[in-house]
Amino acid sequence: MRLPSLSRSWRFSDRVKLKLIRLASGRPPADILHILHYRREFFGEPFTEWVHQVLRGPSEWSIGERELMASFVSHLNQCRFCEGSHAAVVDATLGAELTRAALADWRTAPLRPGLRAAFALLETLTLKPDETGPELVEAAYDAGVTEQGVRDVIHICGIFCTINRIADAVDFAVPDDKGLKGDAYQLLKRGYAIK
Amino acid sequence: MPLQNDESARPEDLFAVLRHAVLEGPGSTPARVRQAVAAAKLDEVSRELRDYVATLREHAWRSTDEQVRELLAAGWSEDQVYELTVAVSVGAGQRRVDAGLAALARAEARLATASPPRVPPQARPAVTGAVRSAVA
Repeated sequence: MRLPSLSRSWRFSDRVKLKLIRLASGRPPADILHILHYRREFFGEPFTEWVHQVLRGPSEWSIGERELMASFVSHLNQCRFCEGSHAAVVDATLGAELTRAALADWRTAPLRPGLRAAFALLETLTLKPDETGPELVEAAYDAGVTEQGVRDVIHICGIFCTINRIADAVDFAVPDDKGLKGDAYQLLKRGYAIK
Repeated sequence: MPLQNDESARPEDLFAVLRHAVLEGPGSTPARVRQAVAAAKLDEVSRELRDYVATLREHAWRSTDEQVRELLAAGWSEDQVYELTVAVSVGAGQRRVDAGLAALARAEARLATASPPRVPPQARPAVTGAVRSAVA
């Protein structure tokens, strides 16, 4: 990481927690865990509450679909850490073939119409937010997405346009495939909240 | 602070809690500086910050070790660089949420005035997977 002092959590209990994670996994905790536990009141706690609600709370989108959107936004932002981390969750839920197809070209990937409309919205909102028009929302409605479903898509975009920047600014290390699979297992089992 | 298992918590409210903590809460940099970088008001921040803020806002993957070293050499602490990084990033997230919700509001307004009225989908059958079952 570019800011090495962020590796040391301010709370003793968090330093113990990260040591236990290291012992249990047999490898150093991912950089994201250090950031989330460093001064957790400033960022980690409120951020993960938002993330957990949007990615794991009640939604018309399945967990795999939400994770696919997360990986897609990260792909657009060229954030290798976040793209890989969330793609690994999609691999474990929807399958690696769909992950690859959707990230390679969502227009031709075998997505259901509602999800394809969500990708269209995500692409503009991520890359050209000022050009996001109501027609993208209306297209989602036409594909069967509800207003709340559109809100979920918008928040997924907001979440990953936030964390992608932090990951790249701090220069998170990208785990190897085994590490990504291990982290994906934990994200599916425990979710995101750190409280 | 909402409870993590409160399934009724609205994402908008949870995002507001985050914005408050990052942009108005206690920190090692003045809140007004965090707010300025979040809104990318580059004329309101010191010169050495401008390049870093602009890079993070538009293409964070291009940020470099050198940019961070320059900020540290200019007297910013690692904790302050961290706060500013988070503030810029939250500002970028807010830009997307605001733009998305504005588009949603415009779509709803157009629906309300459309003739014949278009009806947004209500509750629909449970989604079982992302893959289409037949043809796209």
